[in-house]
Formats: sequence, structure tokens, C-alpha cells
Amino acid sequence: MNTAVKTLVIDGRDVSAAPDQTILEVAREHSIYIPSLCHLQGLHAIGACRMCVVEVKGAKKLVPACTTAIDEGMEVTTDSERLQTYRRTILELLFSERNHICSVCVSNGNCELQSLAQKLDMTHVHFPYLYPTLTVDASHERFVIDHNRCILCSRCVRVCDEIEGAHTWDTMGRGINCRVITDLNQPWGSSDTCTACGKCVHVCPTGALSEKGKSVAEMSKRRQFLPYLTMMRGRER
Amino acid sequence: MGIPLREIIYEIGGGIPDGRGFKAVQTGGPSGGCIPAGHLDLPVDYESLVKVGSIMGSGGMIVTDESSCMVDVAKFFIEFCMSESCGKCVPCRVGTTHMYHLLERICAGEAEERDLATLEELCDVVRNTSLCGLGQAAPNPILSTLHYFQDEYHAHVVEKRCPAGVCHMADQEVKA
Repeated sequence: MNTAVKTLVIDGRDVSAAPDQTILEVAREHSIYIPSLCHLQGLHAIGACRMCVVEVKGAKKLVPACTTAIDEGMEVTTDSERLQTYRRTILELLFSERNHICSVCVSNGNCELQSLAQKLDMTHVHFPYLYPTLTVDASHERFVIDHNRCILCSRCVRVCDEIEGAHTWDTMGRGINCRVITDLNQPWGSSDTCTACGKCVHVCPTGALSEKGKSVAEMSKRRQFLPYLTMMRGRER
Repeated sequence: MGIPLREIIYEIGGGIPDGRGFKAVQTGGPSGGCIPAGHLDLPVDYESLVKVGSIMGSGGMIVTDESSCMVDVAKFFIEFCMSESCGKCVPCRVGTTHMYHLLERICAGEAEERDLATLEELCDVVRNTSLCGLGQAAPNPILSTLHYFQDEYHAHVVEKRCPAGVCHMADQEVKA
């Protein structure tokens, strides 16, 4: 194991970190806030939502904090007017993409997309809403997927594959037609691989995945299992 | 490498058929920029192409003459980028879709001036925050045409007229 320590500067603060850590991990350890949506500690980082983009001195492009490894002498800026504008615009793009009507959503008040919009002062969406026609799959006996609320963060895909080991979830289609599917795009209820563990439901940041029987604002997610499971897995190895 | 655009287009390529005038050359594939006549003496190399807002890319060139509408050309290329987007990252997946819809509105004579500002803003976000090269380069055809052929965009948006006569304007139909 490499025990060397690297030092870097985040928002003007000198910090030290293990060489295999990412910018996001180090920032969070030092209570420096970087917004994120697709990232969830315990799952493989994929850098898809682009909410965590940060400025690194000397780098030509913005980099995602969740997938960028730290380096000796790195100077990171996590908050600037430019970054705030980009992050807000990306949020607006997400809100315009599908049907995010908070007032009738099971996750109203317990939604990461909603709370991020509030936190980043997103007051309105200045892109036309795309409102695609998407279905709701309620064929599973305990859970429901509403594609209208899905932001394609792929947390469900990753937790099912990496933690549960079932790989029931995956994505199909490309670009704006991309969506998450169960098995080979079969109804969730008919899936032979799904163990009905519910991990996907509880890592979902929005109301896309919910338990049956929950009404508006009643669905809150429980994620305590994830750090515990990843810690126990780490010990096994 | 280093040969001027003019030599490639007029000597090696044999020029434009039927005596029509040159309008723009798009280099580097669908996500390259459109270079206007003023830069025809530009040597074809990586640095020079980037300086005028395009890329070397695949090395391919598409020459358009006066009969082409540059807004329509930009729409054509962004449609390609939109359908090639994999859908993993948000700015490319949703941004290119909005860019295409905006260009559709402009071509149909339904756009307002503020749509041009939205288009530019989208280009900036998609270029700077996309995950891979496809999204980062996708705004090039729009940004370069907005820069070099601003008058054509203006004609579509303000005068509801397509100078090249390519775009079918909804308004004109009503008036006729």
C-alpha cells in the first residue's frame, strides 16, 4: 500500500490526502461542498451528471471532481461565478428533459434533484420543456419505476451490479432516447434476475424509483446500508 | 499539411461546379467549424484551423456554395451530433437536443432574438462541461456560423427570411 501523502490546495486551503483519492473525496473530508448527483459513496464514480465540475489551475478544461485523482501541488477551485452558472444550467437541462413536477411526486421534499435546485438558487427553467411520452412500470410487486422522473444517473444500474451482484438494471437507447431498463427491456415484474432487494429504489436520487403504496412526498430513501456493505466487502478482500 | 484551403478546394478539388460562388468550408467532420471565404488563404494545419474556430478532426472537408443556407448547414451537423450522443452526460444529451430544436425554430422562422442568446449560452455549457470530445466539439458548427454568418441568422430571426432560399418559413406561407 502506498502510504505517501500528497498535498494540494482546494479553495485556497492547504490539504493533504492519500494519493489514490479523488478531488471530491478530499473536498468532502475537509467539509468543502461540491454539488453532485450521479455520485454516491460506495458506488463506482462515473462523472456523468457534470454537477461536480471544478477548475484546476493550469488545466485547459474543467474536470469532474468525482473521477479526477488528486495530484501533488494541484490547485482546485470548487466555486466560482462561472461554475455556478454552468451547474445551474445543467440542472435546468435536467428539469427540462423529463417531467419533474415536484408537487405531485412521491419524493417531494426528499429529492436530491429538488434540494440541489434549491441550494443552487435555480429560480426557473429557461429552456422549453421536452415532455417526452414515457411510461410507468408498476409490474413489480413491491416497487415502481416512473421514467418521467429519471435523470439517468445510473445509480440503480451500479448498485444492482456492484453491490447486489444481480445486474438486473441497465441502460438502452442513446442520447435523448436513453433510459434505464430491467433485464432485456422486459417488465420489471417479470424479471428473473431481480432479487427484490430494493437497493436501487433507495439509492435513486429522485422519485423515479419508489416503493408501492407511497403517496405524494411520502417516499424517503434509506441509504445506511451502502457504506456498511462496502465496508464489509472491503474487509473480505 | 500547410497547403492553403484555396489550393485544396480550387486546384486539387477542381473548384465549385456551375460557376457558383464559394460560401464556406467545413473542416474536420460534423463537429468542425465553418470557415468563410475571408480565410481561404489559411494554411491547413492544426493551429491555424483552431484559430479560426474549426478543427483538423478527421481531415475531411465539406465545401458549400452560395446555394446553401448556413443555419440549415449548422442544423444538419448538430442533428448528427445529437443522434450520436450516447446519453451518459447531461449537457451533451439534453444540450444538443435543445440546440437542434432551437435551430429548427430559427429555420422555420419561429425564433425570437432571445433564442440566439440561449443558443450561444447552450454552446458554451455543452462545450465546457461535456464528458467527452463529442459534446465538447458539437457546438463548433453553430459557434462558427454564428460568428461568420451572423447576418444569415439575423435574416432568419428578425426578417423571417432565408437569404439562400433553403429554409421553408412558416410566416411567408401565411402571407402568400
